[in-house]
Amino acid sequence: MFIQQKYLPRRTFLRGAGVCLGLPLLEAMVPALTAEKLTAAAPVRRLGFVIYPLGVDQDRWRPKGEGAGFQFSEALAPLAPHRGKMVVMSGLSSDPDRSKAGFHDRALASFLTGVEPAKGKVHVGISVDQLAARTLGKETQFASLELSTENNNGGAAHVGPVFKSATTPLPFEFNPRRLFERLFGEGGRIDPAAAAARDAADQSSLDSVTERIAELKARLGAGDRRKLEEYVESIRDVERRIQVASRKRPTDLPEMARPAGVPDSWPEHVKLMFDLQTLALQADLTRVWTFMYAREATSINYPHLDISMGHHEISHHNFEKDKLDALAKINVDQSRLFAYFLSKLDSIKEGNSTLLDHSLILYGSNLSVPTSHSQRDLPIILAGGAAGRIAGGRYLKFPGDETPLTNLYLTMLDKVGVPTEKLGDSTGRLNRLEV
Amino acid sequence: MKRKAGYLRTLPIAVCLAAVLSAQTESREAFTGRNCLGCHSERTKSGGFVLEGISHSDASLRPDIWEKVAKRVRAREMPPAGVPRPQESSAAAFLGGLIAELDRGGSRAPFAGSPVIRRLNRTEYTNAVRDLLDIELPLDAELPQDQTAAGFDNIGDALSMSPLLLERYLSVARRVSALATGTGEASPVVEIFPATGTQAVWQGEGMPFGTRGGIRVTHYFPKDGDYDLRAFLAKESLTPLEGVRFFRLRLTRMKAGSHTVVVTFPDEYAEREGPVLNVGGPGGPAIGGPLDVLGSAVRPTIEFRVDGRRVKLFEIGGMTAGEAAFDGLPGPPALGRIEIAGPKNATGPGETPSRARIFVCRPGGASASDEGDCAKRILAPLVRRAFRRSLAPTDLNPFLKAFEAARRGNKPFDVAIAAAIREVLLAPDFLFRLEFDSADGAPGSGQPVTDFELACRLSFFLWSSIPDDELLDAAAAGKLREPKMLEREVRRMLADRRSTAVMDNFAAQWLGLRELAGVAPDKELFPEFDAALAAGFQTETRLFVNSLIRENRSVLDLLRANYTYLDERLAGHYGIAGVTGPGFRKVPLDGASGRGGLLGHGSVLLLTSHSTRTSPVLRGKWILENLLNSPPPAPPANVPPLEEKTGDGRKLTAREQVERHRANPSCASCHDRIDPLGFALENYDVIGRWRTKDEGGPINASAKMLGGTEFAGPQGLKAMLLGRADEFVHATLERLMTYALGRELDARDQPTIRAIMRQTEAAEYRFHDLVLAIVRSAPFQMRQKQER
Repeated sequence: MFIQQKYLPRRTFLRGAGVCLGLPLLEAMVPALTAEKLTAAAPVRRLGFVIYPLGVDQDRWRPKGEGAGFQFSEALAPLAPHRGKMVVMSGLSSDPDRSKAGFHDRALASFLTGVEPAKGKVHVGISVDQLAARTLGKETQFASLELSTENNNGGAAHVGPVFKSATTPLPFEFNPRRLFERLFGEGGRIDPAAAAARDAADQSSLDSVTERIAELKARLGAGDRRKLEEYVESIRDVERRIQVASRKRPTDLPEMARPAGVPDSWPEHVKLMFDLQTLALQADLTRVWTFMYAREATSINYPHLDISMGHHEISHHNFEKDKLDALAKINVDQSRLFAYFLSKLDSIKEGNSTLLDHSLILYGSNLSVPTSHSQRDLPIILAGGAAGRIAGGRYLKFPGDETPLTNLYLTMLDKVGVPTEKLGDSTGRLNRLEV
Repeated sequence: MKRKAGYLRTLPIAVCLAAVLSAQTESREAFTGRNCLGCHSERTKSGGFVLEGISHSDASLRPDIWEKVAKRVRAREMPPAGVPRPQESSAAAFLGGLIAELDRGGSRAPFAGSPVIRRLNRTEYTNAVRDLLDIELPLDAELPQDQTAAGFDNIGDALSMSPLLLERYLSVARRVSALATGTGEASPVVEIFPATGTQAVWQGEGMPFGTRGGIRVTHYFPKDGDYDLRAFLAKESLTPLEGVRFFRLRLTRMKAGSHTVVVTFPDEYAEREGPVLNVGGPGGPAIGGPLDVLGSAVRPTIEFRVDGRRVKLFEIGGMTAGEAAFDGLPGPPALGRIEIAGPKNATGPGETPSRARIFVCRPGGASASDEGDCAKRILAPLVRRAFRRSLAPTDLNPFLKAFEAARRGNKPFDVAIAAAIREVLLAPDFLFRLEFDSADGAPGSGQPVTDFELACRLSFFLWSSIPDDELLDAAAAGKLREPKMLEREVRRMLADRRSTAVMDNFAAQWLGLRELAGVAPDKELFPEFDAALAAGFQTETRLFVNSLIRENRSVLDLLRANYTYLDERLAGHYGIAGVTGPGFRKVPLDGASGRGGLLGHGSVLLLTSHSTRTSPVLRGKWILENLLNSPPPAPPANVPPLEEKTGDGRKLTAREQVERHRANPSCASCHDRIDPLGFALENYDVIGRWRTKDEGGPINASAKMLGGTEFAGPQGLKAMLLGRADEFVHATLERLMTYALGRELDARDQPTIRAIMRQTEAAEYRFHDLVLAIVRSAPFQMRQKQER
């Protein structure tokens, strides 16, 4: 086992490290934290977002028929084995201000927020995952994980899709080795004592930083205080990680070696990131996550599909046949990889059902017709059962393209137990997901 | 001077005109009434812009509105085509009066802005650690990429703190403090470095010439001692000897510190080594030979180098690539990863530059007070440099506390110092560039930043790092603001090696060069393209821009330089004769070369191409965005498809395809601005080679701008841009100011930019002059008090 440090009893850890920590705080937290676990009545619910860039060839993506009798399209065929645990949707849009032209930075920033990004400064809105993480993240080491296969922001104003607050975009991790170390400790070696010592040193460093920030805040203006407040919030997050790590019971996990780095092949990279996500969910290290197949407007190409042109260039297909064919081929591959993830989640038992049954995962792209940067009528799939709250095996067609995607998010938040009244451009809940 | 800035030529006249405005020319109201308000009324709101009802009496009260008007009128974009144009003289008078009034407003109440405190971005963090502890580590790769705004990753607004980042800070600070003090664990650790990218070609800069594939790492060896270096073959490549998958070399008595390790396959070599050690396959010791890239009948060899010196050559034997191909096997062998394991038999922390920098004192006596004094003497200069200011008496307390706690826990002295240094690296005073408002003055009022804050603004602008002791001393003495001192410091900093940060961070982001790594032309169409060529493109542009910075040349040279930097390969690629042998050198260019200036650089030309063909649109957009700071709006939704072929089935040239686009009036409104700029560069293909025809036929590189200006080819384009030098310099200054100030500019900054242009025009906008003028400007010297 490589995560032994995680179940060290808190007190042992304190004694061993010889450091005095905020015990009263710790005691106060315990009752709240012992609440729900994997009981059949209240299984842990998880919320994920798997985003692929640059849209689809709609003709080959859209299923035939409607409702329970739908037929899988070419692009979605690899997902057929999971039919019973997914809902395909069309007609939803993420286009907050319809008078504004679409572009990559906007398509990315509005996808999970439903907010028209401000021009000339970083001001968007909290994203749906972070809203959920405020509640679902309380009991796990990581309130949320943000993952990708590339550095997330290239080009002008790409700050990513995840916003902790309107002004705080979160960075993404794309290196499997670093993700592994973040989840399971550094060095790839089993050394609970060293891990405990590290956590104690971190805690004491964070204490002194917190003190210093309090001094500084008294001397700074409002804008600056807000920046330091981000630091304080991050400290609280890390402290919670340290505290949760010290009291979490061990979980049975398969062995997994620390990855050496970023695999050369993109599909291998995606699979490895999916493996690590599965592990993080299985170990209950987080309940909220966002994974991007690649960054917005990515220029990667796909030698394994015999595609040498960059994805971004293909996506501006201008309805030329060659490029549409390539895009469709990529779409199939994307589905195949997502199917890999679903199979993995579905193979892990939790109580009487599986990890997948207890999760709710949105799988989609922030562009529909990429050649014109359209964010309307997006290709969206919901997978997983949210612990019996969603009935799968359906294709829901929402008429036109006026229904905000954020309406679906409100419903998803309901399903994972974080009821919310308004998110970005939402106009109400979607009422067609009931079991 | 023939090529003089357009608006500067008209400005003096315009100012005169403005003075006698009421008597001799129409009023501002009359001008806008006749030329603007028809569309920009409350009712019509063309382009979402309303001029009706805006006070015309003092433009400087609404710079947000009037700067926009000035910019569009000056660029002759307004009134738009199809609407009667005002007389040149009346437009010039209107513009001159407007700008003079805006500038008067700017000098009456200089705008400084109130930037939020900035977190160090990962480049700055890495450099700061380097300059603080004298240790060079690739920390930027260990930190998440920073968010960008306004085209740069040093904009305070976008630099947020997150749990992920804080966790990385905690971990990096632990590693750095242990390595710098030489106090890390002595137990061996295995570090793994996987191969990246295609292994079939030379791996680019830093690899020995004439090698194929391989891995190059700069690794910090934590202790004096022995280390094992292991090279593993990639899974899919041949097993040269049954059962042998890796080759090991013991590096004995390595000195602690940074070393460069290279493992690669040489194409050819003269000498041979004896039997391979540590290879216990059934065939006995391996005998092999050199490997040919294309797989001729020579046998693979692996070469190990440390700090540029060949330390080992393994003849790994096995099938040749040719034999493998015959059997339908993959090949030739490629590296999968290398591992560095150690230290073994560690003999001590070694004499590293970092330890010399840190341990300026050793505790002599046994008493605790003596030791505490020593810790203070070690930490005080470090913390001063880290916090970039004189220290208050209490500043050291948290770090002394960490030191003492570690000592109480029976940690050795050096380890306790490491614990203190770690906390320094986590302190907000280190991680953030703090600037404080003074107690007096109302919110919004301008006040000079302190000398230390100014020193910081300078060092992060020019070095992307913390100030050095000399700069801090000048600030501490209160002398940094003295004009002579300030100039001397700026010139010293620009001459310092660290000023390459201006290229690597400012210019690389400005010109989009950081995107170059992700660009790969189609392999089948451009088999000549490989990592070496891509690296060559980067090197050319880097050396070129650096020379301009270092030699204090005019920024106009970015467009018109008659020299560049080439090696034999790149010169051959460009078709320039007379450059032989390895290495880049300065090469003079004549008119016939078709090169000179950024617009002839392979880097820029590749960056602005599609993978299979050139794109006049992308090239035009790049010029508008980066050289004229006038980005076109995003394309609208629902663009109709374009045709690729003519009626008779002939493929269209890239230009013809784009021309069809422009035949559609709704496309033409923007593309008439974009495409002509790109057409002029059609003689350069996707990978920057000169050409006279493409798939569709002969190249037509002539172009006609919206206003009717005609030009042809790169020389014509350059001449046209130099004719609009004021716009180019204005754009360059806007980018440089944004980077220097770490905030987005707004309309109120325009008077400052125009003032700098006037100050630097006589000497043709030399780079150091621009930097000095920015450094002396109000926004750099001052800040406006924030709301509490």
